[in-house]
Amino acid sequence: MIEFINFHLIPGLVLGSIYALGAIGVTLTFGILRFANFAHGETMTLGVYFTLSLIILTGLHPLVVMPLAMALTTIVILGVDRVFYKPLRAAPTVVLVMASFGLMLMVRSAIQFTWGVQLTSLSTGIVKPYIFFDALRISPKHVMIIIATILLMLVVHFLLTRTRMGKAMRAMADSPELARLTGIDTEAVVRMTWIIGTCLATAAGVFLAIDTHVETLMGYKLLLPMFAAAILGGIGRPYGAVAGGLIIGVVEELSTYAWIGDGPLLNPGYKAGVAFAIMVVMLIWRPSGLFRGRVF
Amino acid sequence: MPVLQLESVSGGYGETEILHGTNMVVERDQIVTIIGPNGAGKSTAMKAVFGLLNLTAGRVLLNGKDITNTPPEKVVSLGVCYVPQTANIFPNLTVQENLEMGAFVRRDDFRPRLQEIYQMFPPLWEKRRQAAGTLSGGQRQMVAMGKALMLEPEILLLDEPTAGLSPKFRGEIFQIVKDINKAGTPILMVEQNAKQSLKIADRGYVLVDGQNRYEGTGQELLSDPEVGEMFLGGGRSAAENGPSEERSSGEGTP
Repeated sequence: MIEFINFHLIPGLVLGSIYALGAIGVTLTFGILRFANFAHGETMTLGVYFTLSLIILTGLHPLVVMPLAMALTTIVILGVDRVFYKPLRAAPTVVLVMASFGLMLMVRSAIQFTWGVQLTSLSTGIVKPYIFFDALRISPKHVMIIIATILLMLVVHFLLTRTRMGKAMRAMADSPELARLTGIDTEAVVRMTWIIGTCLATAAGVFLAIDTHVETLMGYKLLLPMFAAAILGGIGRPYGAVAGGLIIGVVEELSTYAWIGDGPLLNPGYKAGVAFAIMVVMLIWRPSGLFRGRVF
Repeated sequence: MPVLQLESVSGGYGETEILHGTNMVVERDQIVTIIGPNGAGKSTAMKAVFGLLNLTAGRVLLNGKDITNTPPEKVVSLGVCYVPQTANIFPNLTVQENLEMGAFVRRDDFRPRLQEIYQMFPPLWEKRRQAAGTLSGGQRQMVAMGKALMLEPEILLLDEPTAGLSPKFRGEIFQIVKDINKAGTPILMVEQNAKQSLKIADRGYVLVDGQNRYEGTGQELLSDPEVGEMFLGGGRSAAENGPSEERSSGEGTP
C-alpha cells in the first residue's frame, strides 16, 4: 500500500499537475482563438530553455528565475501571434491549426539550433526525500511542484473570476460573436489568453524539467496528454482542464501498478497510450467533456 | 433630429443583396417595430445599423452623424446596443457577470447602473450569482436586455425579443419593452408577433423583399385592411380578436 502511494499516486499527482498547467493554455486557446495549438508544447520547451540560460547566468534557483523566463517566453509568443496568427484571425480553423503546426517545427528547430540537442538538467545532485511515518516518502521537489501548481491555479482562478479581463475571456470562450457585439475588446482578450497560456506552459515545463531533465522534445512529448486533458475536461473549460490533467496523470501512473499478480498491469513503455485511449473514449462517448465544453 | 435614420440602404451578405433601398426613421422616445414575411430582410435591416452587413448604397445616421459601415465594436461605444434573437447571453457567466460584460466599454463606475437594472428586473437580483444559462427563456431575455441597457444606450435594437416564449412571457416582455422606452430609451425592434408589437409601437414598418411596403403609426397599420390581410393573419376582425387567437397557439417554452 505504501509503495502504491510512494511510487504511483504521488508521481501521478505531480505528472497530473504538470499536464493540468499545460492543458489550461491548450483549452483557453481552443475556446477563445478556436484552434488546437500544436505549438503549445514548444512554448513549454522555450520557457524551459530560457530558465536554463537564466540559471547558468545567475546561479539562482529555477523557481526564482522562472518569472523572468515566463516574461521572455510571453514576449516571443505575443510576437508570434502578431506576425503569424493575427493575419489569420478570420481564417478557417484548419488554416490556424496548420500554421501552429508549422510554428511547432520552426520553434523546435530554433531551440535546437540555439541551445543544442544534448540532454541536460536544471539542477544537479540527489536530494533526500522527506520521510513521514517511517514509510511515506515524498521528495522535496514533488512537494514544491504540487504547492507551486496550487498557487498558480489560485492565481488563474482569481484572474478568471474577479478581473474584468478574466471575465471577458470567459465570455469570449462562451461566444466570440456575442463578445464582439457586446463591445468587448477581443484583441486584448486574445493577448491575455496568450499571456496566461504561456506563463502556465513555462511553469509546467520547468516543473517537468525539475522532476526529470531538459531536452528539446520535452514539450512535444507532453502535447498528447495535454490535449487529452483539455478534451476530457471539455474544450474552453479551464477548471475542466485541471481536472482532466490530474485524472490523466494519475491514471497513467496507476496503470503501471501491480493490480493483478506481481508485474505491472501495463508495461511502463505503453504509459503514453493511456492518455490517447482516454481521449479516444471521451471523443466517442462524450465529446463535450466532463464539464460540458464546446464541440467542434 | 431623429436618433436613427436609414437612408435608402442597400446591402447584404457577400454577393447576395437583401436590402434594396430601405428607409427607416426612429425618433427620440419612440418604439419602432419592423414586421414582414420571412426572408423580407427584417433582421438584416437591423444588422445594417449595427455594422454587421456590407452596405453597397445608402447611409445610416445616428443623431445625424454618419455611421455607415462602422464595425460593431465601434458602434457599441457610440451608444447603439443590439440584442440578437438567439445566443444573446453568455450562458456560463453568472447573471451579474453578464451585466458587467454589458458595461465593458464603460470605464467609469457602473455600479449605480447595475442597481437600476436589478430594480427594473427584480428576478435577476435573486439569481445574480447563478449561471445565466440555467435561467428560463423569459429571464434569459431579461438578462440580454439588462446587459444591453448597462450602457445607457442612445438606442436599443431588439431582434425578435419574444421568439420562442409562451404567450404569458410574451406579454411580460412587451411590457418590459414599454417600460424601457418610458424610461427614455428609443427602441427599434423586429417582431414575428406583429399584432402585439404594433400595439405598443409608435411607428411600424412593413418590409417586403428588402423594401418598405407600408409604414405608419402602429394603430394605422393595425387598422389598415391590406396590412391586416397580408401580414397580420386575416383582416381587421382578426386584429381585434388577436389576443384570444394567440392564446390558443401556445408554442414555445416559458
